[in-house]
Amino acid sequence: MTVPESQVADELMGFIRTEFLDGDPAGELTDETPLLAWGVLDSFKTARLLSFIEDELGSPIPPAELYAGNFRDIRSIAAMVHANGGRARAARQDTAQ
Amino acid sequence: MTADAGQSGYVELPAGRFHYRRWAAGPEAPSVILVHGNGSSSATWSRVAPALHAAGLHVLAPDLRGSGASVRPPVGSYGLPEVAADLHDFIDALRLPAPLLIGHCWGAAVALTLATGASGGRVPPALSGLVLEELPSDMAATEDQPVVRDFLRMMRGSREYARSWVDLICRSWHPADRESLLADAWGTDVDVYLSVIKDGAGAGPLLPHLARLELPALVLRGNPRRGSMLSDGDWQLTRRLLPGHCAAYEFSDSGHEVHRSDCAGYLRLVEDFLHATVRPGRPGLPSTLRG
Repeated sequence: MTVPESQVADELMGFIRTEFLDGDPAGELTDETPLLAWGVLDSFKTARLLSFIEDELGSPIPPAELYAGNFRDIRSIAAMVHANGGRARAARQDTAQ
Repeated sequence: MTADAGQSGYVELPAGRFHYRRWAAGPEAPSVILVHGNGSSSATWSRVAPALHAAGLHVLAPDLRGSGASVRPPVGSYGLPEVAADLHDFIDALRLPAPLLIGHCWGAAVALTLATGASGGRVPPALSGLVLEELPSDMAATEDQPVVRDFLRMMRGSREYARSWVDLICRSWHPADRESLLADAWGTDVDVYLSVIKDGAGAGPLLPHLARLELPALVLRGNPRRGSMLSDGDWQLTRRLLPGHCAAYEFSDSGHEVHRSDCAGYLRLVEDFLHATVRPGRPGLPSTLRG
Protein backbone atom coordinates (compact mmCIF):
# COMPACT_ATOMS: atom_id res chain seq x y z
CA MET A 1 0.00 0.00 0.00
CA THR A 2 1.37 3.39 -0.99
CA VAL A 3 0.73 6.32 1.30
CA PRO A 4 1.19 9.95 0.35
CA GLU A 5 4.48 11.60 1.18
CA SER A 6 2.56 14.11 3.28
CA GLN A 7 1.39 11.33 5.58
CA VAL A 8 4.98 10.23 6.11
CA ALA A 9 5.89 13.86 6.84
CA ASP A 10 3.14 14.00 9.46
CA GLU A 11 4.56 10.92 11.17
CA LEU A 12 8.05 12.41 11.17
CA MET A 13 6.76 15.71 12.51
CA GLY A 14 4.90 13.94 15.31
CA PHE A 15 8.01 11.98 16.28
CA ILE A 16 10.32 15.00 16.27
CA ARG A 17 7.83 17.13 18.20
CA THR A 18 7.29 14.51 20.86
CA GLU A 19 10.76 13.10 21.22
CA PHE A 20 12.99 16.10 20.64
CA LEU A 21 10.99 19.27 21.24
CA ASP A 22 8.95 18.49 24.37
CA GLY A 23 5.80 18.57 22.27
CA ASP A 24 6.74 21.87 20.58
CA PRO A 25 4.23 23.86 22.66
CA ALA A 26 4.86 27.04 20.64
CA GLY A 27 4.07 25.19 17.41
CA GLU A 28 7.26 26.37 15.73
CA LEU A 29 8.15 23.20 13.86
CA THR A 30 7.30 23.17 10.16
CA ASP A 31 8.32 20.85 7.35
CA GLU A 32 10.92 23.42 6.33
CA THR A 33 12.49 24.02 9.75
CA PRO A 34 16.25 23.58 9.23
CA LEU A 35 16.74 20.68 11.64
CA LEU A 36 20.50 20.38 11.30
CA ALA A 37 21.31 24.09 11.10
CA TRP A 38 19.24 24.85 14.19
CA GLY A 39 20.63 21.93 16.14
CA VAL A 40 17.32 20.08 16.50
CA LEU A 41 19.11 17.01 15.17
CA ASP A 42 22.39 16.51 16.98
CA SER A 43 24.29 13.24 16.57
CA PHE A 44 22.26 11.28 19.08
CA LYS A 45 18.90 12.55 17.84
CA THR A 46 19.82 11.89 14.23
CA ALA A 47 20.54 8.30 15.25
CA ARG A 48 17.21 8.10 17.10
CA LEU A 49 15.37 9.47 14.08
CA LEU A 50 17.12 7.00 11.78
CA SER A 51 16.08 4.12 14.05
CA PHE A 52 12.49 5.38 13.91
CA ILE A 53 12.62 5.60 10.12
CA GLU A 54 14.04 2.14 9.67
CA ASP A 55 12.26 0.27 12.45
CA GLU A 56 8.91 2.04 12.74
CA LEU A 57 8.34 3.41 9.25
CA GLY A 58 9.84 0.36 7.58
CA SER A 59 12.20 2.28 5.36
CA PRO A 60 15.76 0.91 5.25
CA ILE A 61 17.87 3.77 3.98
CA PRO A 62 20.61 2.75 1.52
CA PRO A 63 24.13 3.87 2.48
CA ALA A 64 24.34 6.26 -0.47
CA GLU A 65 21.39 8.23 0.91
CA LEU A 66 22.68 8.51 4.47
CA TYR A 67 24.09 12.01 4.30
CA ALA A 68 23.31 15.27 6.05
CA GLY A 69 21.60 16.87 3.04
CA ASN A 70 18.80 14.32 3.26
CA PHE A 71 18.17 15.27 6.90
CA ARG A 72 18.07 19.05 6.53
CA ASP A 73 14.30 19.34 7.11
CA ILE A 74 11.18 17.21 7.40
CA ARG A 75 10.36 17.67 3.73
CA SER A 76 13.70 16.22 2.58
CA ILE A 77 13.52 13.39 5.12
CA ALA A 78 9.97 12.51 4.07
CA ALA A 79 11.00 12.41 0.41
CA MET A 80 13.86 10.06 1.24
CA VAL A 81 11.68 7.83 3.41
CA HIS A 82 8.90 7.74 0.83
CA ALA A 83 11.31 6.92 -1.99
CA ASN A 84 12.58 3.97 0.05
CA GLY A 85 9.21 2.42 0.69
CA GLY A 86 8.54 4.00 4.06
CA ARG A 87 4.95 3.96 5.13
CA ALA A 88 3.19 5.95 7.79
CA ARG A 89 2.51 3.92 10.89
CA ALA A 90 -1.23 4.54 10.66
CA ALA A 91 -1.28 2.96 7.21
CA ARG A 92 0.75 -0.01 8.42
CA GLN A 93 -1.68 -0.57 11.27
CA ASP A 94 -4.61 -0.42 8.82
CA THR A 95 -2.90 -3.00 6.63
CA ALA A 96 -2.30 -5.28 9.58
CA GLN A 97 -5.95 -5.32 10.58
CA MET B 1 46.07 16.38 19.16
CA THR B 2 47.09 14.10 16.36
CA ALA B 3 46.25 10.46 15.82
CA ASP B 4 49.09 8.06 16.46
CA ALA B 5 48.74 4.28 16.65
CA GLY B 6 51.77 3.85 18.92
CA GLN B 7 54.04 0.82 18.82
CA SER B 8 52.33 -2.56 18.53
CA GLY B 9 53.36 -5.41 20.81
CA TYR B 10 52.19 -8.81 22.02
CA VAL B 11 52.40 -10.45 25.43
CA GLU B 12 51.63 -14.02 26.48
CA LEU B 13 49.28 -14.10 29.47
CA PRO B 14 47.60 -17.10 31.13
CA ALA B 15 44.47 -16.56 29.01
CA GLY B 16 46.42 -16.35 25.75
CA ARG B 17 48.21 -13.89 23.51
CA PHE B 18 47.28 -10.26 23.95
CA HIS B 19 47.95 -7.33 21.66
CA TYR B 20 48.69 -3.89 23.03
CA ARG B 21 49.91 -0.52 21.88
CA ARG B 22 52.65 1.34 23.65
CA TRP B 23 53.74 4.96 23.65
CA ALA B 24 57.01 4.58 25.55
CA ALA B 25 58.54 7.18 27.84
CA GLY B 26 61.58 7.21 30.15
CA PRO B 27 61.90 4.76 33.05
CA GLU B 28 60.82 7.39 35.59
CA ALA B 29 57.64 8.27 33.71
CA PRO B 30 54.37 7.27 35.43
CA SER B 31 52.44 4.55 33.60
CA VAL B 32 48.91 4.85 32.38
CA ILE B 33 46.82 1.97 31.02
CA LEU B 34 43.93 2.82 28.71
CA VAL B 35 41.15 0.25 28.83
CA HIS B 36 38.66 0.34 25.95
CA GLY B 37 34.95 -0.42 26.00
CA ASN B 38 32.86 -3.23 24.55
CA GLY B 39 32.89 -3.47 20.76
CA SER B 40 36.10 -1.49 20.63
CA SER B 41 39.86 -1.90 20.85
CA SER B 42 43.00 0.02 21.72
CA ALA B 43 42.41 2.00 18.51
CA THR B 44 39.76 4.03 20.31
CA TRP B 45 42.58 5.92 22.09
CA SER B 46 44.25 7.12 18.90
CA ARG B 47 44.09 10.78 20.01
CA VAL B 48 44.03 10.38 23.78
CA ALA B 49 47.15 8.20 24.01
CA PRO B 50 49.53 10.48 22.07
CA ALA B 51 48.31 13.48 24.07
CA LEU B 52 49.02 11.75 27.39
CA HIS B 53 52.37 10.59 26.05
CA ALA B 54 53.21 14.15 25.08
CA ALA B 55 52.40 15.11 28.69
CA GLY B 56 55.26 12.84 29.80
CA LEU B 57 53.50 9.58 30.54
CA HIS B 58 54.27 6.00 29.59
CA VAL B 59 51.03 4.95 27.91
CA LEU B 60 49.83 1.40 27.26
CA ALA B 61 46.57 0.34 25.65
CA PRO B 62 45.78 -3.40 25.56
CA ASP B 63 43.12 -5.04 23.42
CA LEU B 64 40.94 -6.84 25.96
CA ARG B 65 40.08 -10.50 25.38
CA GLY B 66 37.92 -10.98 22.30
CA SER B 67 38.86 -7.52 21.00
CA GLY B 68 41.24 -6.17 18.40
CA ALA B 69 44.16 -8.54 17.80
CA SER B 70 44.02 -10.27 21.20
CA VAL B 71 43.03 -13.85 21.97
CA ARG B 72 39.34 -14.59 21.42
CA PRO B 73 38.12 -17.09 24.04
CA PRO B 74 34.74 -18.75 23.47
CA VAL B 75 31.47 -17.00 24.19
CA GLY B 76 30.62 -17.36 27.87
CA SER B 77 34.08 -16.44 29.17
CA TYR B 78 33.73 -12.65 29.24
CA GLY B 79 32.77 -12.09 32.87
CA LEU B 80 34.28 -9.10 34.64
CA PRO B 81 36.42 -11.28 36.97
CA GLU B 82 38.06 -13.01 33.98
CA VAL B 83 38.74 -9.79 32.13
CA ALA B 84 39.99 -8.05 35.28
CA ALA B 85 42.34 -11.01 35.81
CA ASP B 86 43.72 -10.46 32.28
CA LEU B 87 44.41 -6.83 33.15
CA HIS B 88 46.09 -7.87 36.39
CA ASP B 89 48.26 -10.34 34.44
CA PHE B 90 49.08 -7.62 31.91
CA ILE B 91 50.29 -5.27 34.66
CA ASP B 92 52.40 -8.06 36.18
CA ALA B 93 53.84 -9.22 32.86
CA LEU B 94 54.91 -5.73 31.83
CA ARG B 95 56.11 -4.94 35.37
CA LEU B 96 54.26 -1.67 35.52
CA PRO B 97 54.73 0.04 38.89
CA ALA B 98 51.41 1.38 40.21
CA PRO B 99 49.87 2.39 36.88
CA LEU B 100 46.84 4.62 36.63
CA LEU B 101 43.87 2.96 34.92
CA ILE B 102 41.71 4.90 32.49
CA GLY B 103 38.66 3.00 31.31
CA HIS B 104 35.65 3.59 29.10
CA CYS B 105 32.34 1.78 29.78
CA TRP B 106 33.21 -1.94 29.89
CA GLY B 107 36.84 -0.91 30.40
CA ALA B 108 35.78 1.26 33.35
CA ALA B 109 33.86 -1.69 34.80
CA VAL B 110 36.96 -3.89 34.39
CA ALA B 111 39.22 -1.26 36.00
CA LEU B 112 36.84 -0.81 38.94
CA THR B 113 36.55 -4.59 39.38
CA LEU B 114 40.32 -4.93 39.47
CA ALA B 115 40.94 -1.95 41.76
CA THR B 116 38.37 -2.93 44.38
CA GLY B 117 39.21 -6.62 44.41
CA ALA B 118 35.67 -7.39 43.32
CA SER B 119 36.93 -10.21 41.13
CA GLY B 120 37.94 -12.11 44.29
CA GLY B 121 40.83 -14.44 44.90
CA ARG B 122 43.74 -12.08 44.29
CA VAL B 123 45.04 -9.03 46.05
CA PRO B 124 44.56 -6.06 43.69
CA PRO B 125 47.76 -4.74 42.11
CA ALA B 126 49.24 -1.43 43.22
CA LEU B 127 47.51 1.36 41.29
CA SER B 128 47.82 5.15 41.32
CA GLY B 129 44.23 5.94 40.54
CA LEU B 130 41.26 5.46 38.25
CA VAL B 131 39.51 7.45 35.57
CA LEU B 132 36.10 5.89 34.90
CA GLU B 133 34.31 7.24 31.85
CA GLU B 134 30.71 6.15 31.42
CA LEU B 135 30.91 3.42 34.05
CA PRO B 136 27.62 1.52 33.57
CA SER B 137 25.39 0.87 36.56
CA ASP B 138 25.74 -2.78 35.61
CA MET B 139 26.60 -4.55 32.39
CA ALA B 140 23.04 -5.87 32.00
CA ALA B 141 21.77 -2.30 31.86
CA THR B 142 23.79 -1.62 28.73
CA GLU B 143 21.73 -4.02 26.63
CA ASP B 144 18.74 -1.70 26.24
CA GLN B 145 20.76 1.42 25.58
CA PRO B 146 20.11 3.18 22.25
CA VAL B 147 23.85 3.42 21.56
CA VAL B 148 24.13 -0.37 21.90
CA ARG B 149 21.23 -0.93 19.50
CA ASP B 150 22.86 1.51 17.09
CA PHE B 151 26.15 -0.33 17.29
CA LEU B 152 24.46 -3.67 16.63
CA ARG B 153 22.71 -2.11 13.64
CA MET B 154 26.08 -1.00 12.28
CA MET B 155 27.76 -4.33 12.92
CA ARG B 156 24.95 -6.22 11.21
CA GLY B 157 24.78 -3.87 8.23
CA SER B 158 27.14 -3.69 5.29
CA ARG B 159 30.50 -2.00 5.56
CA GLU B 160 29.17 0.77 3.34
CA TYR B 161 26.19 1.26 5.64
CA ALA B 162 28.48 1.52 8.69
CA ARG B 163 30.66 4.10 6.95
CA SER B 164 27.71 6.22 5.89
CA TRP B 165 26.17 5.91 9.37
CA VAL B 166 29.37 7.04 11.09
CA ASP B 167 29.89 9.93 8.65
CA LEU B 168 26.33 11.13 9.23
CA ILE B 169 25.84 10.51 12.94
CA CYS B 170 29.36 11.36 14.10
CA ARG B 171 29.80 14.22 11.65
CA SER B 172 31.09 16.56 14.37
CA TRP B 173 33.86 14.16 15.44
CA HIS B 174 37.51 14.36 14.46
CA PRO B 175 38.14 12.18 11.36
CA ALA B 176 40.53 9.94 13.32
CA ASP B 177 37.77 9.18 15.82
CA ARG B 178 35.27 8.44 13.06
CA GLU B 179 37.80 6.04 11.57
CA SER B 180 38.37 4.28 14.89
CA LEU B 181 34.63 3.89 15.47
CA LEU B 182 34.29 2.45 12.00
CA ALA B 183 37.15 0.05 12.71
CA ASP B 184 35.25 -0.94 15.87
CA ALA B 185 32.09 -1.73 13.89
CA TRP B 186 33.96 -3.66 11.23
CA GLY B 187 36.25 -5.52 13.61
CA THR B 188 33.90 -6.57 16.41
CA ASP B 189 32.53 -10.09 16.68
CA VAL B 190 28.80 -9.71 17.39
CA ASP B 191 28.73 -12.88 19.50
CA VAL B 192 31.60 -11.64 21.67
CA TYR B 193 29.94 -8.24 21.97
CA LEU B 194 26.73 -9.82 23.29
CA SER B 195 28.69 -12.20 25.52
CA VAL B 196 30.46 -9.28 27.18
CA ILE B 197 27.06 -7.90 28.14
CA LYS B 198 25.56 -11.21 29.20
CA ASP B 199 28.60 -12.51 31.09
CA GLY B 200 29.34 -9.10 32.56
CA ALA B 201 25.82 -8.95 33.97
CA GLY B 202 26.83 -11.75 36.35
CA ALA B 203 28.79 -9.21 38.39
CA GLY B 204 25.57 -7.39 39.32
CA PRO B 205 25.38 -3.69 40.20
CA LEU B 206 28.71 -1.91 39.79
CA LEU B 207 28.11 1.47 41.38
CA PRO B 208 28.20 0.17 44.99
CA HIS B 209 31.87 -0.72 44.44
CA LEU B 210 32.63 3.00 44.16
CA ALA B 211 32.02 3.41 47.89
CA ARG B 212 34.96 1.09 48.61
CA LEU B 213 37.49 3.02 46.57
CA GLU B 214 40.62 3.89 48.46
CA LEU B 215 42.39 5.20 45.37
CA PRO B 216 41.81 8.64 43.93
CA ALA B 217 39.23 8.34 41.16
CA LEU B 218 37.70 10.62 38.59
CA VAL B 219 34.28 9.51 37.33
CA LEU B 220 32.96 11.01 34.10
CA ARG B 221 29.68 10.79 32.28
CA GLY B 222 28.16 12.36 29.18
CA ASN B 223 24.65 13.73 28.90
CA PRO B 224 21.89 11.08 28.96
CA ARG B 225 19.94 13.21 26.49
CA ARG B 226 22.87 12.81 24.12
CA GLY B 227 23.43 9.10 24.64
CA SER B 228 25.14 8.71 28.01
CA MET B 229 24.39 5.31 29.51
CA LEU B 230 24.04 6.76 33.01
CA SER B 231 20.59 8.02 33.89
CA ASP B 232 20.21 10.99 36.20
CA GLY B 233 19.35 8.52 38.97
CA ASP B 234 22.53 6.54 38.30
CA TRP B 235 24.52 9.75 38.41
CA GLN B 236 23.01 10.88 41.70
CA LEU B 237 23.88 7.49 43.16
CA THR B 238 27.41 7.72 41.75
CA ARG B 239 27.98 11.10 43.37
CA ARG B 240 26.51 9.96 46.66
CA LEU B 241 28.64 6.82 46.83
CA LEU B 242 31.96 8.35 45.77
CA PRO B 243 34.32 8.90 48.70
CA GLY B 244 35.43 12.46 49.37
CA HIS B 245 38.85 12.00 47.84
CA CYS B 246 37.28 11.24 44.45
CA ALA B 247 35.59 13.53 41.93
CA ALA B 248 32.77 13.33 39.42
CA TYR B 249 32.23 15.44 36.31
CA GLU B 250 29.51 15.58 33.68
CA PHE B 251 30.00 16.59 30.05
CA SER B 252 26.75 18.18 29.00
CA ASP B 253 27.66 18.33 25.30
CA SER B 254 28.82 14.73 24.98
CA GLY B 255 27.11 11.38 24.79
CA HIS B 256 28.55 7.98 25.60
CA GLU B 257 31.86 8.57 23.83
CA VAL B 258 33.24 11.52 25.76
CA HIS B 259 36.88 10.80 24.84
CA ARG B 260 36.02 10.87 21.15
CA SER B 261 33.27 13.47 20.93
CA ASP B 262 34.96 16.01 23.24
CA CYS B 263 38.56 14.87 23.27
CA ALA B 264 39.96 18.27 24.27
CA GLY B 265 37.59 18.66 27.22
CA TYR B 266 38.21 15.09 28.29
CA LEU B 267 41.98 15.55 28.19
CA ARG B 268 41.83 18.77 30.19
CA LEU B 269 40.12 17.00 33.06
CA VAL B 270 42.23 13.86 32.85
CA GLU B 271 45.48 15.80 32.78
CA ASP B 272 44.36 17.85 35.79
CA PHE B 273 43.58 14.62 37.58
CA LEU B 274 46.95 13.14 36.60
CA HIS B 275 48.73 16.13 38.08
CA ALA B 276 46.90 15.46 41.32
CA THR B 277 47.59 11.73 41.42
CA VAL B 278 50.68 10.46 39.62
CA ARG B 279 52.69 13.67 39.60
CA PRO B 280 54.82 14.44 42.64
CA GLY B 281 54.36 17.63 44.58
CA ARG B 282 50.75 18.25 43.59
CA PRO B 283 48.68 16.81 46.43
CA GLY B 284 44.92 17.01 46.43
CA LEU B 285 42.47 17.48 43.63
CA PRO B 286 42.86 20.62 41.54
CA SER B 287 40.23 23.32 41.82
CA THR B 288 38.57 22.34 38.55
CA LEU B 289 37.65 18.98 40.04
CA ARG B 290 36.48 20.06 43.45
CA GLY B 291 32.85 20.27 44.40
